[in-house]
Amino acid sequence: MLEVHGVSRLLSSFHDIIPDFVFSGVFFSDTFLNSHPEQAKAFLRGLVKSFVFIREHGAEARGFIPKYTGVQRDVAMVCAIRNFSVTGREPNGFIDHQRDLMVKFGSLSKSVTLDSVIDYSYLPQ
Amino acid sequence: MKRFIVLLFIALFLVAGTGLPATADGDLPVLRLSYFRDIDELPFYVGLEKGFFEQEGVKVELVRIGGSTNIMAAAMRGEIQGGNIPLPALFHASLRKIPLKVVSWLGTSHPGTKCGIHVSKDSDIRTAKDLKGKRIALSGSIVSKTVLSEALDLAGLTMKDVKPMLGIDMQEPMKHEAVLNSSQVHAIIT
Repeated sequence: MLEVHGVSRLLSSFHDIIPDFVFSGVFFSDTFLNSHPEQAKAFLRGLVKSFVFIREHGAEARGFIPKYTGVQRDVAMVCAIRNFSVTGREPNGFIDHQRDLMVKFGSLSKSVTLDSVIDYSYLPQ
Repeated sequence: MKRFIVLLFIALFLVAGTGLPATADGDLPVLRLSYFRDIDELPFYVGLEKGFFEQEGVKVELVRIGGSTNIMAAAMRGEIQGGNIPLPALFHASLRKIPLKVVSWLGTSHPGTKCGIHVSKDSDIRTAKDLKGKRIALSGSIVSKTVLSEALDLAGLTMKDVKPMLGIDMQEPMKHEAVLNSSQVHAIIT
């Protein structure tokens, strides 16, 4: 956005510094998943449709950004957006690398696996 | 009269047979999901605008909540069912055995990513090594600190070699311009 407005120059991107940086995930509480698994699956079917739509109709998708974020349309149409996996899944190596960096720089007290936290079973196959 | 009733049943059968989703909002369960009001939550916005969630049988309501701790607390209290949460929070959730699951990732960086370390357009900072001794604005989130620490590490520097200024609001990008234009900082992580 800063670049679009001619204010800044990108020195190094997240991707330059930590390739394939995983920013965030969609979570549900265990209580909800246990009581309403079909609703979680329904939501994720819709989310995967969104991933595909963004890939195939990027300009139309970007047109929705101002309504929800307040970002100006001219910026929304050219700003960089994330690479969304159409499967909703990412390789474990991407995630483990970020964990190792968090431990290295003191943001995480010890190495921990996300095996007990990641559950792809609600995603469409 | 009998013919009218038969036609009515045929009409109802045809409508029911289309597989159209329920049209009345009240017929669908509502999922309340946290979001940051961020560009990168575009899949949420697309799903809402294109009706993808409702086509699949749920209605989605986005709830703006700041901070991973607040988001997880809201989910544990049942105020939301889930939402978007940064990766670092999930490691801490795993350590603390917080009862939640990440069910899908919400995007990665790529060679065209614009998030990163920005300097003023006319800055004489050309590489990360040039950041030594400079004032760098960042939110203070684990993500921003990890990215800056790694950038400095790759350049043979540490956080002690720069002057971090924590606290910028990542959800107020227009303020970032003012910060850089003010010349009070030499670089900003956004």
